[in-house]
Amino acid sequence: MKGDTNMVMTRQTNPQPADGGGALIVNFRASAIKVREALSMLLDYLAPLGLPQDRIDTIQLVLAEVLNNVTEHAYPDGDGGPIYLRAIVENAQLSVIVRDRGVPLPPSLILWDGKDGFDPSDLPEGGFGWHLIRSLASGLDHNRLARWNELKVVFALT
Amino acid sequence: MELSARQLGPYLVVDISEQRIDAAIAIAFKDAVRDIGAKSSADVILNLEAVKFIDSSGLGAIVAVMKSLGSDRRLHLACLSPAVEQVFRLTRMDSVFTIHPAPEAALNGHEG
Repeated sequence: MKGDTNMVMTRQTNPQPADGGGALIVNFRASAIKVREALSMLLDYLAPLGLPQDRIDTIQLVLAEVLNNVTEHAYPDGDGGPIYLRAIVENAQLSVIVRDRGVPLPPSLILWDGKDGFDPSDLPEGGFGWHLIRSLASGLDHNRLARWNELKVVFALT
Repeated sequence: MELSARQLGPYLVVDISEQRIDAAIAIAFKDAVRDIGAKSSADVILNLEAVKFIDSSGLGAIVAVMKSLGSDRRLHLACLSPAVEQVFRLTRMDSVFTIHPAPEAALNGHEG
């Protein structure tokens, strides 16, 4: 497992704010702490839009689940592989693309089967993440591109 | 991991000072609350007033804490922010815990 100290988080220089039509691009190595930082950058990027707090909460939660999933399952050896995140606001929607070079995402995970995969009375300690993503994202699309997973998550902003 | 514990009537109240219970802190959170709970035999109220964000890792940690208390003791939750409440509601885990608007509300609740 690589240490975090030599992992540099990059974002494009002089990014335009979301309300100016600019995109946010963040490249980082998968780790729970880096996910926190990337989410913080996303919230800063969205701040000029003045979205209602519940919309902000939802966006942060879904992206947290997406990025945690990459960290834990795309890179199961904890090797902190690369994550590329690109967010852009266009036509009253936020589109976020997340790419990783890890284990292919099982397509079944993004399909909405109309029912839940767990029973609260069983007291599960995991498996909530994809349920939250499917419940809260306005749109989801996954592609396997050569050696990359690409997940596109869309949120309606109106 | 910042938390403290106090007695409130028959309950052990654990006040969480962290603003986020996420993947970065879930294991430390689970261990810290479980250790505090193990020093008492009272039902536990987890005061989440300071918590503004929780993800599925944090939710899983709270479920693990509840299990660690065993079948004789209950875990109550208090002061859920809208973002935290949403996670419990969407996963239907709000049906598993007794949720209070404030720790003190447990004293005159109907959960006996």
